[in-house]
Amino acid sequence: MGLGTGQGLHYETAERLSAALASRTICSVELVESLLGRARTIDGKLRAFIALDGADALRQAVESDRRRERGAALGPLDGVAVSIKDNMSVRRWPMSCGSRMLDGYVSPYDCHVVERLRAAGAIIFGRTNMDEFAMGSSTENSAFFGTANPWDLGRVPGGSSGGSACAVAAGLAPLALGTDTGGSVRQPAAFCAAVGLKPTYGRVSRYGVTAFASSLDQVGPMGRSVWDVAALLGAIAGLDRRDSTSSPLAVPDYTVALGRERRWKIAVPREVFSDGLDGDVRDGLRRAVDFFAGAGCEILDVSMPAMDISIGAYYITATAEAFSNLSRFDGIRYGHRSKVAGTVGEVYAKSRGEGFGAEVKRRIMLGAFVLSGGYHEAYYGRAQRARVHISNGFGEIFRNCDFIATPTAPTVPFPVGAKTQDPLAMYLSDIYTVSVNLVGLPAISVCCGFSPQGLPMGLQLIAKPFHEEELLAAAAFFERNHDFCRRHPKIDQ
Amino acid sequence: MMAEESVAGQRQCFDVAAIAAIAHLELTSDEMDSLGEQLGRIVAYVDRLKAIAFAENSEQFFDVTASLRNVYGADEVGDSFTQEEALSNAPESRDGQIVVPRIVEGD
Repeated sequence: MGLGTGQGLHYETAERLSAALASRTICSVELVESLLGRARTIDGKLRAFIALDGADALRQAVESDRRRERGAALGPLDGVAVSIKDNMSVRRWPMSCGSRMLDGYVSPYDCHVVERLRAAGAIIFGRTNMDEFAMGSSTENSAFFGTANPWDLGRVPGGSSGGSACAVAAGLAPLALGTDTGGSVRQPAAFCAAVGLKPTYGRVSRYGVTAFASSLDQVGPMGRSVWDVAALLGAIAGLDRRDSTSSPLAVPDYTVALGRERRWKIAVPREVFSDGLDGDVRDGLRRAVDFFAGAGCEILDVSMPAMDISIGAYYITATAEAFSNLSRFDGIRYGHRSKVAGTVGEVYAKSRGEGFGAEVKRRIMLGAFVLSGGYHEAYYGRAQRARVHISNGFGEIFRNCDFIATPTAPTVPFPVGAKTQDPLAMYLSDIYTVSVNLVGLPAISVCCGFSPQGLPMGLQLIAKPFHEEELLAAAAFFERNHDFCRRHPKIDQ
Repeated sequence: MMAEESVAGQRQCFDVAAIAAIAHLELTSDEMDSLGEQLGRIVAYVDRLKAIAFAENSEQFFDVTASLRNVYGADEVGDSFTQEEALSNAPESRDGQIVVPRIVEGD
């Protein structure tokens, strides 16, 4: 079948676009013009992008096409557009982190993943909306505007990488990068029927990515197919001396092993079937598990009692680290400085009071509390012991299995405004994702069905550290045998 | 301003003003009230960790950072920002330096 038959290029996968660019069936300028036209038509409704500089994207596309003409293409992603979450530094581009605190800030350098994408010839295509400083699960905490779920404009796209997930699902970009500190790539991927991967801690350098919680943060690829996500991971992964947690392990071509089919052993923790799990999502998970069982995989019923404490351990750890990391936003060297501050102390307190939104203030305050004198051991110290405990729980389960399967989120996408008045309810929606970050494991979310109202849900598969190849192979196997990734939202109607 | 939450018979006192001072955050009185209430509930939730007896000094079975080592960079001069680039985002700068309010007393 020809590319984009009768409907433009916007729902073509990066895999097919890459092949079409290589065979010169299309050129990158054509792709970028098609995506810019798509954005003009529908992004007013969706608001996936904080900013999209069309002239800049076209300049990059012209250079890519020139490379192709010279026979000097840089790789499979040369000429393919990748949208960037707005907490990653792109040289000469503003970076807001979804916050007023960075008003006027222009990045003086490229972050590592953008350097890698440029080296691969990819088109850096727009800055996507996000919860302020990546704190949130719905993108409603952006200081600028919310982003709609392309499957139902009255619902949230998930978060914090909601702009990236929306962009990918709505055909505004074939690929996007997000960051995942407690599920911020996987949960919006699930809410938008995209594929999102959180790599193993250390797989991708965070250099130039605005730190939220440094022991948990990872950059993750998002796309409309597993192949696309595998290719993007391959482009951004690898050792970088500027992030001391960056792993020296070799980076394979993650697209090579996608055809692998094994009789994997898959553990399903019985705790996921708790009261908080939505019935449609429960049925979706059961169907996914039944599919793997039917394909000869062994399904193990396991217990993971530590799931119950993961939210508490996560929010203590993440807020403590955020309290420390966000102390750099003080109005002195960059970002917002209060106009009404007289002393240095007032510059700090007033600039931060004016610049940060409600959720960021809440988390900074919680972080300051759990680290404060008299409470440090009771909260932060205990959370670190809980983290070891949770880690050991995963270790026990992985002695005997390849993957752990859970829903990505306990519900389908919720209506805009449903949880904004209840921060704790919003935190609890991260129940299945946060423990993965606490332990540093890789995990992927793939669409495993739609509710009767047509709302998507995600299957999360969790693997052992640095087992991304196997994880992607299992996800690709699931994807090949279902048509979910070929369904698209009807935004234009 | 104190927000109080009763947790398993213990009183959890959350001194919003003191914590805001530690965090260098100026808050409005409305923010103080709502944060006090919300943080009280969140702290009460995370307090469930107190009910679990975690092993002291237990070894982490599955620590992805365990395979990593401390990384020391060579102390060498390399390319970095120009002074102009480093100051490009400063809210106020003069003569190659960032301008801040006076910190030291006297002329």
